[in-house]
Amino acid sequence: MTIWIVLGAITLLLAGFILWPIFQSKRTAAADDDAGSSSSTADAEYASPESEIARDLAVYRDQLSEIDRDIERGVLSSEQANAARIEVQRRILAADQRIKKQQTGDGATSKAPARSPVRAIAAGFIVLFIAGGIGLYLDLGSPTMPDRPIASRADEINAMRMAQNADQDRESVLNRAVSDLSQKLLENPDDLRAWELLGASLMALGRPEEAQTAFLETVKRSGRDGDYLAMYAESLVRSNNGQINTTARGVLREAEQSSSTDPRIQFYLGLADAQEGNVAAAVDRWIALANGAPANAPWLPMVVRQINEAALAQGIDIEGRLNVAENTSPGPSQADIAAAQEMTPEQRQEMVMSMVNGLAERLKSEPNDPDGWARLMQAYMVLGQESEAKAAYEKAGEVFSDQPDLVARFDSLAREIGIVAN
Amino acid sequence: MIVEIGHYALILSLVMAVAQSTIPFLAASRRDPALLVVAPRLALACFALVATSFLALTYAYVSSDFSVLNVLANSHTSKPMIYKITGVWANHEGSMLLWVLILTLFGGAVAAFGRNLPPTLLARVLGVMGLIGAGFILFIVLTSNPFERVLNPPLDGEGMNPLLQDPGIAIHPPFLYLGYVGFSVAFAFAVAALIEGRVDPAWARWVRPWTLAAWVFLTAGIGLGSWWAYYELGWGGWWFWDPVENASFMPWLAGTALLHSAIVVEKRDALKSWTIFLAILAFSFSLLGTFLVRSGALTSVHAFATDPTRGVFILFLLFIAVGGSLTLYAWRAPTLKGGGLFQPISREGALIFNNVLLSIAAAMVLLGTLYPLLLETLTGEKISVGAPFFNSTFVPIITPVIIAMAFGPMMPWKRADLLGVFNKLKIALAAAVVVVLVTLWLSGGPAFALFGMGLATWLFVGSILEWSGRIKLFREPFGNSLRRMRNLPRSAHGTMLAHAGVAIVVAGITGSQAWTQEAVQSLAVGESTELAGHTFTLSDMREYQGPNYAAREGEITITTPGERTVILTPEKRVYTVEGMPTTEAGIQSSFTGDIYAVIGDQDEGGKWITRFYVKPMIPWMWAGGLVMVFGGLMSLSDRRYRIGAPTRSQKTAAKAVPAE
Repeated sequence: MTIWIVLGAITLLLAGFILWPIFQSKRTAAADDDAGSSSSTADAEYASPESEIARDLAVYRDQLSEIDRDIERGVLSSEQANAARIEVQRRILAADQRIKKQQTGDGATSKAPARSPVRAIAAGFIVLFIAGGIGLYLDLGSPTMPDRPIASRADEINAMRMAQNADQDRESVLNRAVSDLSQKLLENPDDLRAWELLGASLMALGRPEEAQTAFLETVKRSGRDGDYLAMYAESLVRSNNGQINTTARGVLREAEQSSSTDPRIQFYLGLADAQEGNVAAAVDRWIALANGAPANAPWLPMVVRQINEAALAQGIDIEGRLNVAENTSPGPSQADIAAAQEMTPEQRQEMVMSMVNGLAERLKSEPNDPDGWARLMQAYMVLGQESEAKAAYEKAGEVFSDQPDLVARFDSLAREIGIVAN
Repeated sequence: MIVEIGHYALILSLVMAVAQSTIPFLAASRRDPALLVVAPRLALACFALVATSFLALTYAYVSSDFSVLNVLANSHTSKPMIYKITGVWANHEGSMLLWVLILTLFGGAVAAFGRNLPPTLLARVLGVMGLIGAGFILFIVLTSNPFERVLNPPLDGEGMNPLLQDPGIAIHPPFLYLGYVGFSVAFAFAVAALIEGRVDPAWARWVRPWTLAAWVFLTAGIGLGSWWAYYELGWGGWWFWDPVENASFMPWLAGTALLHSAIVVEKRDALKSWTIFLAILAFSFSLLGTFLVRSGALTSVHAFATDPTRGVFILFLLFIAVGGSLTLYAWRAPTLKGGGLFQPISREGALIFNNVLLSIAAAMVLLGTLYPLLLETLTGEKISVGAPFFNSTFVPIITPVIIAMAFGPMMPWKRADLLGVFNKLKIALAAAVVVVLVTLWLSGGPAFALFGMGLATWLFVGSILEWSGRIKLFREPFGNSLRRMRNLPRSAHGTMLAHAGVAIVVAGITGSQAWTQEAVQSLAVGESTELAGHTFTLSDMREYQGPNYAAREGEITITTPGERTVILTPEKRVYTVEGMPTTEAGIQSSFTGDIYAVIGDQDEGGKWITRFYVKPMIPWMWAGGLVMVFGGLMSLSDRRYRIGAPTRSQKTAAKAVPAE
């Protein structure tokens, strides 16, 4: 709003400054008319031939007095001065003749100009020009856009720095994990779990080629376990820029035959179908995967998006086939992440705390979520609340006491993240 | 909001310029008093608006507002404040805005100080300036708008060409533009006089100081540019006959000619038509320079814009301005009446001689600049016209100018006695011969150096002689001479200084071209080399971090038997944001010349490649330029009426020739 006031003020001031002489002349002309005089005499003199010769003569007079001054100062000899005076006098005569000729020639027409519509037309054009300028600005300008001096953007800069730091922290943790695990595996190459973690860390670091080697070890050492085959397949796909080659397809088929329910198997098999041109088959596979998934599976939104995109692109009707609630993401939303970037470390801690508490509350009412329990244990450890983490670990053990494989998984996780000593 | 106010002011200045290029002509032809008062107000409004918009852009640069595309593309937060400010014009869009700012500044100045001009002439002059302004502001708004915004601005800009991050080059464009655009005033007066059909006495009184001011700025701008090239580019050269340099040199030559012929109009009421022609020429060369730099026809550090549509637009403007004014000249010039009469051998005659030769020199430079461009456009063949062409054409043309320069000021108006003048110059000739002999004895040549030194001495002593003759130095008691000197019009001091400045420049060019010595070698820290009687030792090599660059600095200790030890610290910098290296030469200047050192990279053996130059007399060039500028300012401060006092003919039979 302020900008319109400022621009308006600039425009009015300017228009007033320029148009003032025209209005002024209108008023004096009107006054003259009342007094019965024919024209505004002061105006007429301004550009008349008489004033022109007066002006020229003034210059010549100044020149003559300059010659006198030069004699006084001794710059000119009297002989030179005389010559110069004659020169100037010649010019005066020439000017006089010229004006006389002009007066007899066209004196009548160049007499004081009659008041004419010219002024009104000129004023109209000036107003029109200004209006055009405003129009052009509305077309080219961005009046609502505020200034963005760098000093006012400290928040953005801080957020960027924090995001960079967080990335660096995460990367340094992962790098340390890679070197620790490698060391550990040099001493004890039979540690299946260490191989898996090494592979996962390398994947997180964006080094799928190296992860591939680690996962191949897990496949070999586990006797071609389905879950490990799925991880191995993913590393193959990622190191091949998302393309599923023959090796990857073979691995996925083998995993499909196993007892593993790892969602990656069906997902990548679907992708393989799509890459072979059989998008309908891919969509079928993904819909089956999504419909069979727990409602809070973290990968579910991604699969749903993939289904929608593929269906839209190929014109496949999936109306009513997908039985998944919208926005099922259990993780923090985009808005939450964006909010976190603008927070102070304390506020951020608080937000994480509230999210962890929310998870704990949910697990009280719906305890049948092994992934949720694992996440809760990890979150408490990250927050440094070891007793809470231990409590969660014990509670999880109770809930799933009839499922030894899950109990074993919690045990190994607890050892890994330090809830219980190795 | 400030940015948008700037944008609005720019657009409003466009419509004001359109009004300024129409209403005043209407006012002048109808002799309407009210509209004649509107004309200067339009010019003042135009200046206020462009100034607002320029300040807004400067604010965006200073506050690093990257929502402005122009700032984003040309600035960076880590840049020192001075280069944030100079960054405003170190790019195409901003420099065009500066160009227009200076144009409207001159327009506003004419409007503000022009009260004693005939109102119709004033209106027409402002109208012509409005036309030029409207063309260029339209160009900015349509093709080069500096106020384009970015919706989601990044947090830092892309930086500025590091070569331009230098105090010398930072003030070079404003000076140069003040020069280029200053000629627009003379141009506008010329076109207005052609429209009016008469050159009245106030006309000449106005054209000379504006031309002189433009000339002073242009001289300073060119001097700064060559000085920058000398110390920043790191090869010790200062003039490359590069088309862009030529683009600034041609208006200088034409402007110098204009300056001298405007004197004749003012003092003797003669040479009007010729002066008008030179005024059109000088500004046309300025426009040509703008076109060459902006069109993408050239590649150099100056060629910001390589967008063909921009080139076509400026070519169109150039065509209208030059073609239009020359057509008007051909049509109206014959109606202008000639004034005072004079003989071929006279001050007027000498000035015509100077004008003709300077114009030919400008034409040669034009040919050498445009021929390669034309040839490439027509046949696709790429040729390079360089120093050999210019040296072999420009030098022979300018030599007689320099010889005549000593004569000119000594000649009386209207008619002169050449032999008498030569008699007064005998001392100058003697001095020149002595200097040539001394030079031969000291250096043994080369021939062109002997000639150049002789020429410089001739002009220098000749200029001093004219001045000392007027104050009767050594011929009357010193007190009398001092009194005469004080009474002398300041323009007389100005003439002497400007001409002596040219002599100093000639000496500087000659000396540095003839006797520069150079050594390129690899040195380890602690090693030395000999050049021209000096011992250069690379005594240290260190690294440091500048505000927005990383630098490697060499310490060169120079010892000379019997003289003080000198330490130079040449640098090689890498500007972090732009990833561009620059060299910073180490220079020790003294009266006799420069010692110049540059460090390069490391060779395979780990030694540093170093280049040393000993350049005798080179500072004289810039010192001479400064003296010229000072002379110009001196003359500019002289606002007296000037009437040439003609000498009366001894024999009545002496025939006079018409002025034009």
